[in-house]
Amino acid sequence: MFDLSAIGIAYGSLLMLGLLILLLLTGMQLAFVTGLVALIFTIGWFGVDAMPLITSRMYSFVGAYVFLAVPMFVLMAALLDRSGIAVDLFDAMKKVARKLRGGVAVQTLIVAVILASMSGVIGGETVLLGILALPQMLRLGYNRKLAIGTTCAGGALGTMMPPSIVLIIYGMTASVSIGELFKAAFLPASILAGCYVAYVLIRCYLNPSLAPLPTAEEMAADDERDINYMKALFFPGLTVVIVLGSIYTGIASVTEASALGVVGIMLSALIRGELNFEMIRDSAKATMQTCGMIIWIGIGASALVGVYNLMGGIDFVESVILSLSDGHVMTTVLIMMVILLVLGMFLDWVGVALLTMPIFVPIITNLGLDPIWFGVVFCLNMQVSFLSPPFGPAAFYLKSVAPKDISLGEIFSALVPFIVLQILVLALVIIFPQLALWWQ
Amino acid sequence: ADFTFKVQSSDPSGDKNFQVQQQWAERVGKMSGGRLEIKLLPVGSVVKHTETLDAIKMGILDGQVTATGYFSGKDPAFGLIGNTVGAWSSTTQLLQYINYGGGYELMTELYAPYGVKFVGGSTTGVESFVSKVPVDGVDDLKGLKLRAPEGLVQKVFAAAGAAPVNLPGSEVFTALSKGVIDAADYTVFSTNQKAGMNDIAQHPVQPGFHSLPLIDISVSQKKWDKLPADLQEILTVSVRDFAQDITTQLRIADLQAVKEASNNPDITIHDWSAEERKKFRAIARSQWEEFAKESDNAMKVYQSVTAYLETNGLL
Amino acid sequence: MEQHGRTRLDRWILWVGNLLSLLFVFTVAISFFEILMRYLFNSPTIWVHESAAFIGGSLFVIGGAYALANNKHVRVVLIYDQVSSRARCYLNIFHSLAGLVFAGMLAYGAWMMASSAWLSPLGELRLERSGSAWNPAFPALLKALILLVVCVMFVQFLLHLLDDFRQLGRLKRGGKADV
Ligand code: NA
Ligand code: NA
Repeated sequence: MFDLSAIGIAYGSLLMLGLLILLLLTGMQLAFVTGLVALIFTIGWFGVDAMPLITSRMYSFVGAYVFLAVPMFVLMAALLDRSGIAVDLFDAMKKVARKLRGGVAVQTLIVAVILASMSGVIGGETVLLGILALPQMLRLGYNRKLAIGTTCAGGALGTMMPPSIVLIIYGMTASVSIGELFKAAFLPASILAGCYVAYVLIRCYLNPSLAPLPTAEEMAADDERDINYMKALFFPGLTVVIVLGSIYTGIASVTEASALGVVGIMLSALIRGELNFEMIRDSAKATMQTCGMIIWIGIGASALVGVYNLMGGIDFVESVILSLSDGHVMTTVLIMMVILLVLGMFLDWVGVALLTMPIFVPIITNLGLDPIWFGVVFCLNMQVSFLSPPFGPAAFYLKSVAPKDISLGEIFSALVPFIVLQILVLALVIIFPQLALWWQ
Repeated sequence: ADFTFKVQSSDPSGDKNFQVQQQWAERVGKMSGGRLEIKLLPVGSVVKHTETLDAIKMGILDGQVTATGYFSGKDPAFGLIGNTVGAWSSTTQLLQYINYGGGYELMTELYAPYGVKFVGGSTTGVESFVSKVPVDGVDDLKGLKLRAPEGLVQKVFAAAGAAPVNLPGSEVFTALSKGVIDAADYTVFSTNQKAGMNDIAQHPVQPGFHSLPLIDISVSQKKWDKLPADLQEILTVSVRDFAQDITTQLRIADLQAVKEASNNPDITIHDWSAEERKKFRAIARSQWEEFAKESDNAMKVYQSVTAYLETNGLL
Repeated sequence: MEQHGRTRLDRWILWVGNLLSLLFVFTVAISFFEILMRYLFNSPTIWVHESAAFIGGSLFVIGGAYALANNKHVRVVLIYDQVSSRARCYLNIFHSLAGLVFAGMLAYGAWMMASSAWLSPLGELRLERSGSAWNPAFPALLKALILLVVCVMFVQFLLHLLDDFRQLGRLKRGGKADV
């Protein structure tokens, strides 16, 4: 049989990359693209006998206990979505925010941060804000791009603000404490959210027509809805305290904390009189779907990494990066950032994490840099990947609930300033690692 | 090179152990005049650490540098010989058993059905016991909330009256500092000291009494059989030297770390008497016996180890 | 939540998957139980972590077939959405074929893996266990489940392929495709 290994690791790597891109562009499912390429290379390079390599990686990947946090967070988001908790939170905030120029946009971001502190997945939040906030801003006559960008970038914060599945997966591949990663991500996440708020306020101040204030009639109409502020703020607050509190104090592992979060939301829904079997069943279904999707992307990527490592890929990429950077620390980090940003345009974050981190993290530690800091940097990179075309999950999620006349192209162009802000904060954290590590 | 072996380690590439293994791999290359090349891969880079035995059998990997205990799920015998909790008080005791006391022959027999050739055994260092409270003997273990990996280690500590908790290694530091646990089975003294474990848990027991893992270097039997006799011998001797090298390097590091820690007035190092160590070993033995009942191979391990300990006056 | 499987097998997978998805809620319950036992009664369980990880792992594997049945696996649709329905139909045929090869080879690998988890090297039945204090046979069970699921996915891809050809035929006759 044809022995692929004859072409050597350099051409092998190129062929692998080419094949990946080619198959991706045919619209084939990402999980199967990576898996199939892994398979082709396993057989081509090592022969049919090496096939169990792929299934062995699959087995190892799905069996990790810490992964269980993923469905828990998805379940939390799904339950939140189906209860009135988020709606109440949003409406309560509106009464305070509406008198401010750009207030509803700012309020959207604040609600996004609160939701992000409860849950750790992308998708649920973007959809929620897309349903809650976007129509209100559009109705008030907010600038479309500003409204779309705020909603989308705010929704993506779900994985930047701890808890976050991106940090969990990173912690697993880099074998560093997930609790410490969460601590480290907190300030950079707040800075990023702060930048979004500042951007909105400054633009609205410079050009008030971007964000008209509600008329007296609209305000009066809003006032008719009676909101119990205590109730609106109490349940989200309680869940945040349970999830983050149990992780930071070390009472519970991340997986257990996420389970506590689900219990917290269910309890809140129960007290609010909203909990029913229908809601639980639908949330569980949504969890099955999202997890099947996320985890299988991970399976494919993990298989590909296993084969690539066996081919001698780690050494190859490491030597390429180090020779390009000539051993210069900052240049090495910058090369990694470019690789991450480019991969983030085409691949899902799980794929990017599993493909690159086994190679990058050892280089980072060998250079004497802190892998916890690098985890935060990675997480910021993935914020960009959620918004960057052509494969921008946050944009896709928003598109699925946005009014029909908003095209994907319009969403992506609305996201440009927010991507710039993300890269700005990314640079900030690279230049000042203390922003992530001040608590050490 | 005439022969290339892809060998997966059970340590991450940043780890000190991995670096010493890397030096071993390079040494094999030089000793064989470049005819035999060992390509060392870090943990999990090809398969999970518990799957390397299967991977060698199926021809995916050519060899492993791993803690034998990881295969306990395949056969309890590997769990028992991989870490005969409480049996060894020094690395020389274990190496002596492996090289001259019947261990080599036993391991060769246990691996043979998997198509895996046991080239040689090694170890790290006797793990030091991390503790926030003074623990000077078996009695002090009663009610102690401690982190221990699952399996025999947990069983032995439970039998000694402690309350073992299962935590991943990465969470041990936080759990100790928050007081979720009082003590932990972690790793050797020098690493604990460097990680700051002794600063938050200021009553380490050193030398430890509980845990000394068997590290094995093994290769595919098929590939081994293809090697000429001189390369087989070079590989065997290189592993014996590797065991000497890694245990000595770790002992030196431990001694330096102990010196550093004793200069710190906040840290009290506890050293158990031979009496207490023997008491702990007796408790452990009852658990080995339980473990031995789980498979015929495990019984063979139990008989071989206890016979050796008895002959040498350790039991 | 709207769900539509293309084939009867897909609809059956969705039905089973919907039922099994409730096990996610069950893992929440046992994890909560573990935390209660640990802090309220100071007696942590030995079975929760491993059971939860096993249930989760099993659902993740099944989730692959589930998302395939519901056509929810992520794709890059840059070109896929732009081309004519005829071209898209050819792409679908290619995807199903590639998937068929993928699942078929996976089944072979899974068979090798599962048999070494169920049989000792000497050929007698001995399930691979976790090696923990509780020592359940979850590794052997999970490996067998992987084999089962990739076999199901193989049939799924096969049925999709047949359906793709049916769609193509309909397009050639000037009709409309419904995928
Ligand atoms: Na979050
Ligand atoms: Na992107």
